[in-house]
Amino acid sequence: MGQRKRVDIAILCCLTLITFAIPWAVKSSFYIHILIMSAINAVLAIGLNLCMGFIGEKSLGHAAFYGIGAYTTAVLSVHFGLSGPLNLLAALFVTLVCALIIGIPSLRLRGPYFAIVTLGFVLILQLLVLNGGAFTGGPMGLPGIKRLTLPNILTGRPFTLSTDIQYYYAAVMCFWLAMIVSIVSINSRVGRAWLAIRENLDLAESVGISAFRYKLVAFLMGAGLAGLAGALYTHYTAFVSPRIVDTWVNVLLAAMVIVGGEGTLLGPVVGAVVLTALPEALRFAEGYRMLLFGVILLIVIMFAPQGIVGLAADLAKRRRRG
Amino acid sequence: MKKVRVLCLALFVLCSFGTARAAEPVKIGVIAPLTGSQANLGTGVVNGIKSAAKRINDEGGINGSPVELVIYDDRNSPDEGVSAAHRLIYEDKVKLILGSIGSSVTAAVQQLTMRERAFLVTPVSMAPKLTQVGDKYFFRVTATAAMRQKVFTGFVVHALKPKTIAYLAANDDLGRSEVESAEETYAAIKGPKTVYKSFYDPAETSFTAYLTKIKSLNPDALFIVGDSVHAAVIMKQAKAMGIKSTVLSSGEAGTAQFLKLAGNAAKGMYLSLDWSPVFTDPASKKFLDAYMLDYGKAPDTKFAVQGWEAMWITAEAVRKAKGMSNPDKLREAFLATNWTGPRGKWTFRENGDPAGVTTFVVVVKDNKFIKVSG
Amino acid sequence: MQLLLQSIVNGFVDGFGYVLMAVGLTLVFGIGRVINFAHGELYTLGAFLAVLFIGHQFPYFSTVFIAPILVGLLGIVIERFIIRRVKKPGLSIWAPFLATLALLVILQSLYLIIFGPDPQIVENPYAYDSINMGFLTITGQDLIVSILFFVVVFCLTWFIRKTRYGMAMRAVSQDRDTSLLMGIDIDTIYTLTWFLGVFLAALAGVLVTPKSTVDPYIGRMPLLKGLSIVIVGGLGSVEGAVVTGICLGLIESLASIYISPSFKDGWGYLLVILVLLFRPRGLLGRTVRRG
Repeated sequence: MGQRKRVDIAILCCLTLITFAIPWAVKSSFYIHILIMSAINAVLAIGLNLCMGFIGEKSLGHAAFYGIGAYTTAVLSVHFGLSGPLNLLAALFVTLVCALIIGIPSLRLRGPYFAIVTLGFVLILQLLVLNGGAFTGGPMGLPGIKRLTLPNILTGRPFTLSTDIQYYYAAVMCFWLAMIVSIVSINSRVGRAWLAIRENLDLAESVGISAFRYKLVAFLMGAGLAGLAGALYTHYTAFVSPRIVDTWVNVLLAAMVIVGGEGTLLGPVVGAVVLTALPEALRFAEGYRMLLFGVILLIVIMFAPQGIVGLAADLAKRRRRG
Repeated sequence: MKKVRVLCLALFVLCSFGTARAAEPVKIGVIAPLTGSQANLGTGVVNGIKSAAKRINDEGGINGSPVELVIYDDRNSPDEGVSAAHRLIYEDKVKLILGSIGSSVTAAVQQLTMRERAFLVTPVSMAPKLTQVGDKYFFRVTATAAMRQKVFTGFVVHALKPKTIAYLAANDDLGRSEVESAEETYAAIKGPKTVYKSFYDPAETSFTAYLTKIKSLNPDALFIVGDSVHAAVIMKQAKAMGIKSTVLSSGEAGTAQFLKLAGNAAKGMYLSLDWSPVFTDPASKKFLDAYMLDYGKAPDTKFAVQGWEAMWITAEAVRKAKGMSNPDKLREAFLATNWTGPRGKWTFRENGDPAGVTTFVVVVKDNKFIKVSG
Repeated sequence: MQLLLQSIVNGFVDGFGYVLMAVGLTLVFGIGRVINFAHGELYTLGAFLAVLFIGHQFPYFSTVFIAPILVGLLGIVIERFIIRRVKKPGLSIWAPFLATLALLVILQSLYLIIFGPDPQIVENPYAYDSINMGFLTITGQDLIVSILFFVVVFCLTWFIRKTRYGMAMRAVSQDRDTSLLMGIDIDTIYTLTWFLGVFLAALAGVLVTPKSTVDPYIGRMPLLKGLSIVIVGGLGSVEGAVVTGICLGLIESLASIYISPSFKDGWGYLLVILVLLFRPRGLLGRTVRRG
């Protein structure tokens, strides 16, 4: 086993330990909240990374699946009283169906065309949600979503997630699900096909790899993860509004992947944590918060476009050589 | 020698206890949009809150303790509002939050405050749902659309007698709730028939498409909902197109800024107003003087007064309840509110809505708001 | 009948404004190969400068020329010091696009800090003077926008077809490598393109805003509309931008009246999706490779 693989496994083990042990060290509900949001954003970023980093197509509409998952859960909860695993599955199902509808036509396009068409879908989705009347809650959104109820495998009786710590673990599980999906697919035949497509699409096609099919797989996986994240989000905050599919959210997600390091495994995780925590950390500069955020983003893009993880990998490589 | 030292230490400890108790501030959280598209509304409200807090402290604070505001920006995003609320409740240990502006942000924050039995007092949010969810610790220091429509629709039907009406409102909770209330009320009192209803994106700047259709339908009345800017632009574009309908508007346009932006186009417009920076009663004067002192100019919109009143009413309630440690006692204190501010006398209903807010009907004439009835 | 005519006139006027935005975007993409997400913020800057100048008693018509030139100079700065830096080989081809996104955030925040959140107006005495021809109403500003639109399109077409720089720009947009071989100074062309593109955005800002108001957030819609038009018309095609921009204005205007007013902004996005699915190179663009 190469040294790099050993380092990777070591990092993953540390990460597992950290994510599960955090509530012992961090007691403040505020920080737990930030961690929960970071985990949810990490799931979104990991999903987007499959699309952006691994097949090389920049999707500007990833938040659409987040929103679809969230709204499906919200509508089922508020209008039909559902709040258990059925709700999560429904969110996943609806999201995947929508991803097929959006993905099949769009993935035939490349580069900026694909990016803009995904943006177009998101904007139309936002319009639909805004004008959805009482069904989607309109501009105000849907408050009062029930808390998540899961069956207890040990006693068989359902229990309701109600404290922040419980949601934290739910978010962490979701995060690890995303990581596992990511790791497994990258190291499989599918992952190798993605790499081939990203590096040279025409060459890949010439050896018989159907680019379209593999792109669709990545797209669907990313969308499914986003849908799940949306469902969890809604149960946690008990609220959803059209702002969840704002253009800004899409930009932020893309930034998370890029700043963290696209095409890497840990990149989106790092990006998600940094960009979720950064606006909160910058609250001391209240009036200048967004300005600082933009400046930091620009500096990273100009001087470290391979992202934080990419930069770390480069530095490690340089140290090893000399 | 030792005895003296012990005595000094004891005195020191006693003194520090004493001073600590006297100086322990009453922390109140504020969540409002300070950046983002609603920034001018949020900044207005926060200015009002800050001015009020300053005057409250000048007059001795709340039972001797000074008010300390912890203000966070929510960028009109429910997620940011929720993060800010988490920070306020768990880090800053705040028990009462003033906020927010957009109903979606307030509703999101409300989910958290309900779980934590924290108080949420909104100076602006209009969505009726906020007081319908059984939140015992939620109070609304502003009228709902239904309240505002009551006086206005009565006037319109009796004095102006339009047979047909068109609606053009912003596609946000203010616009939607105003139009819904108006339609319901007119239906109940046999008012004008709706011939056109449309909601524009709040970022919209060109209304020619909507106005062209409205002109072709030629309704007797046109009810517009939008802030000073939207209302001014719509009026200007409408007058330029030669629309002859009588224009009615929700009170957001009742500001000096609207008069300045709309100029002559505003002539003849009727508004339902609960307050305007041109009022001169003693409570309004106190507010306007304080604002002028703090910011060097008169307020452009009425949002500052909403922040001002929310802060004062909260301070009075906390004073009556002698602190915020017992939420039920504080709730009783709020329900016992009987305070007069620039917008009139404030009392509250069981569900947290105000019991009655005085609204006036004004018309724009000679570039001023002239009271028609009240 | 009146309604239809007025609607068509409205559509044209709105369309002219859209075209100015779109042409700038399409030039920068066609030649510079960068989608400038900060384009809307430069539109806003044009409007803010207009507010500033007119507030200091500059006449409106001088502002119409001076403000866009100043913003165009900023465009040159952006191109030289930011875009060029992130176009280096080895960097992701998406770096310039993301850099413009970061610029969007920076510029918008700066406007908020410098100019404040309150809406301001571009005072223009002609803006609301309207000519009422009985069945048709045209405002003074509409006329100004229309006239300047034709002037700009005419000048731009002449520039691109008849001058040396214009032809160099076309060469670079078609085949960068060959252009280099032919001795064209690509760097200058890029800089010139950015100047022109940004100039047009700021011009749109100065021309369209007297009919409404100016605040730090007015750039969002024009950017999205501009992007839609550029995609549908063909990335890099000026003719495509002109035709599509006008069509979009007409479609929005007519659809709002005869179909649904609430969906007014959605037509642009819908068009984008339809076009991209069935004719990805846009109405008048070059062939795009499918994947």
